[in-house]
Amino acid sequence: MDISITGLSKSYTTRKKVLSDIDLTFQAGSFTAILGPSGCGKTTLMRCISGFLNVDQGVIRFGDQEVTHLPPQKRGTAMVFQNYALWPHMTVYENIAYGLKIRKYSKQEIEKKILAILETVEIDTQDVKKRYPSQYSGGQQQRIALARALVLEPKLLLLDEPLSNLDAKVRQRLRVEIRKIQKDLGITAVYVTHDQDEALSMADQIVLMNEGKIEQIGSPENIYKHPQSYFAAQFIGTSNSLQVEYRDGAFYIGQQLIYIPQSPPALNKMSYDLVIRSKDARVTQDRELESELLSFQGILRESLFTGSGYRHWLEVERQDIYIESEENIPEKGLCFVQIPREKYFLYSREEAI
Amino acid sequence: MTSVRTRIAGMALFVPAIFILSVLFVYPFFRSFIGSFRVNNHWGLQNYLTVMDLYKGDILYTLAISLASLLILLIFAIILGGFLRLKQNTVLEFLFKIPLFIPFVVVGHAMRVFLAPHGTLNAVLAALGLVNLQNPPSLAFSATGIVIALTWKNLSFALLMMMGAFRSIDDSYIEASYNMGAKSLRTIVSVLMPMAKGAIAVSAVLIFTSMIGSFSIPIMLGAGNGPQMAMVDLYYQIVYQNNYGAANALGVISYLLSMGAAIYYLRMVTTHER
Amino acid sequence: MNAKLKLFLKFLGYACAIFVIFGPISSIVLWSLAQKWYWPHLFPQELGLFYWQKVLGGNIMHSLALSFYIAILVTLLTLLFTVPMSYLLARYKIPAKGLILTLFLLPQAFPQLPVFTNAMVLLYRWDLVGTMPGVVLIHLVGALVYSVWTLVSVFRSIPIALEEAAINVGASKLRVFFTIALPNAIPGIIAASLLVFLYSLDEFTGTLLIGSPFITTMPIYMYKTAMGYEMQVAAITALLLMLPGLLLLFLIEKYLKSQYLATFGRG
Repeated sequence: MDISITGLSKSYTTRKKVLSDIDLTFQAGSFTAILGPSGCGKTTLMRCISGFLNVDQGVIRFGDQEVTHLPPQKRGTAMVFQNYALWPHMTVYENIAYGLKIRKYSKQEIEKKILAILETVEIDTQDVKKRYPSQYSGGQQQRIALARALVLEPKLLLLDEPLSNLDAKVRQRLRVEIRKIQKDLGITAVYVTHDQDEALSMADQIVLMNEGKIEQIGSPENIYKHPQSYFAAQFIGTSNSLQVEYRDGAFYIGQQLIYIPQSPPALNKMSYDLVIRSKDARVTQDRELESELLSFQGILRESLFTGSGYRHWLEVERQDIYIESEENIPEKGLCFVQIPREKYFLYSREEAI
Repeated sequence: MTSVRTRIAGMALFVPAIFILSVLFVYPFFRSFIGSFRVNNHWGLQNYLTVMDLYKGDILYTLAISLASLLILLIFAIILGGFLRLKQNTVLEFLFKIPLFIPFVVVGHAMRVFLAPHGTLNAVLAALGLVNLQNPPSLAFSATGIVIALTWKNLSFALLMMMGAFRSIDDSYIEASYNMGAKSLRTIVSVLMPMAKGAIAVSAVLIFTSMIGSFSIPIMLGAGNGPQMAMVDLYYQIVYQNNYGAANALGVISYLLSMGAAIYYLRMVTTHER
Repeated sequence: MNAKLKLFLKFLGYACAIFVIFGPISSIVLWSLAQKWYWPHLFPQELGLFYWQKVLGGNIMHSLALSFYIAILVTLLTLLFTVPMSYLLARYKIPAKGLILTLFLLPQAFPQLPVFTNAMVLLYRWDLVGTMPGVVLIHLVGALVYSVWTLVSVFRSIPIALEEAAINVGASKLRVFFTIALPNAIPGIIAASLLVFLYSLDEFTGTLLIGSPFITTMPIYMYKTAMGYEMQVAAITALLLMLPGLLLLFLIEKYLKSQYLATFGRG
């Protein structure tokens, strides 16, 4: 069952739209990450899907059924919350049984389902009837919360930054496991996050959001390799941006002429943003002239050892950029930055000068 | 989304409490305004003139007592609260919570016997050689007695408010002050106090209002003759003179003196709901 | 500062604090035990439990029972009226919510006596002065206010995600209230009811106006005996009256958040 959203808009006050014109489809069994900086509207979008917020405009469909105005309990979605939202006054068993009891399952069925789902999320079933959520670690609590959501066999699993309160190691492990469980159960999942690594590593489809709008939808690879907007390029990966100007028939960074094989713009003066990922560029002391490379000069200010390599701070025409590479450059001063053609992105600024 | 029936059921839950409060507080509250302008079935300012004539001194007396108690309480609460913030002391903190849980009338009576000419206070002071028991000073039925009793009863409240405010100040500010070489008292006066000045103002307003409206302590500790606090005058007007007009005028004056607290609470509601 | 001086100052500080707090209380303890205490003796000539026996056998027991009865009734009614209402105020969009909250602030903001004297006139009309229902009603005014503010903040302190998680798995609003919100609010509700109970037990101003001359609760009894210079009886009553509050303080000190206490103990 595909889930589709068309023309969805939402505003809290009359002035500013929190979401505008959202069009989206979640394919049955797919894992979608909604990615964006805080305040981009991703949580609002999720709450609209779950039914906790009314939408102003637009239609939400679960398969053939329109659910736009259904209350949350009738949508058949299950949510996993950032703070787990496990009920502290109930045992782990009671927590998971809660929704099943509402659905009037028999005691035996409830027990069977709970034991099965706990096995899936790898929680020891032995004393779940006696222990309370607070007796478990954060990672385990999130597994329990996941079990509570999954046991109801929801049409759609919604995860609202479920890993952001956990420490790095647990987070890494749960990423893999959540993804595996989702694949095994074949459930459609939507995962809200501000962490690009999480989105890139887990999702089939990424929805990149900014200021209440969708910037780009695509596979992780597509989003990473072909960012369609300045925002997408500088949000994904560790990126630098440099101001580039087109004038007198050529591109310049400051006073430095650079060669960019791009058809000249209609206007004879334009501003551009050049986005370079820190890992995609090389810093060298001799300029290699190669047409496949974009190359410009800068002044190496400082190199910091990062463990796996070095982070170089360069000044290019009074703009700072940071390049990561494996090799150290012992001498500070003049050097060159070189980037393969397909690895830099140029976006024209909307307003022409 | 909610059905009409649930809405009505929900509203029904509000009825008893709102009804009781409206009938027994809001309506009487407005009645006291109306009543204060009614003289023998006519409108007029006669009640206020009577009150001014009879109780001008008493109103000033009430203000003076309230301000004096307030001042003592603030100094006490800032200094003790400050020291307790800098150095946790659960024993003292617990000790000073006790007055909150002692009923007003009990405080009134305890102070009557504590501050009496041959009460425990004078006995202790005499033992220290500070007081001559042949001619003992009496604090019980005097302005001083009322100030002491009101201060004592409000110790906990003032301290709790101040501790609350001081606790919300991050440790690092205090550590920074120590780090610069400041001593405890200086840290309290120049770091804690300015950073909590809003909370101090609020506690001052709330304490002042409760002093103005205090009744049981003044009636138990007031002198038989001489000035009385406003609420005692009001009570006597009702009980002995049956003069509701004058009592209401006195009441309205006490409301005006309590405006500070009213404004604070109103602002609290508006910020709460935003 | 040398260590000895420091120790001495610390000792002095504790002594002062203990004297300030227990000095006044010790006076009534002394009086409650004084069988004979004449001027100019510093301490009673004869100590004993004579008056305790006399008082506890007398009509104070009636006042004590009455006070507890009223306080329990007031607490139960207050809980019934305020628990669901506070939940709705904390969680839902209510028309005129600001107005309702303001209504529940007024009694905190203004002196009680002038309002209660006017309430007395109304209660006279309905023949409720000098009756139990009258006293319960006047106690409810303060109790409701106190309870609403405490409970609204209790319910607000429960993370809303807990309730959303329940709605999300299909629970109705009523079910969410009874199975999620209420169980999590229990500690706060207990704290609120204990304080409401204590408020009613200690209430003086309203009871003096509305209850007299027939409803003599403990505070009124104590007031009358004190004003009549029955020193020992007043002292014993005062001690009995103090006891529940102190007990409460000792028992639930750790549960009582200072924010709940801040609005308590005025009037």
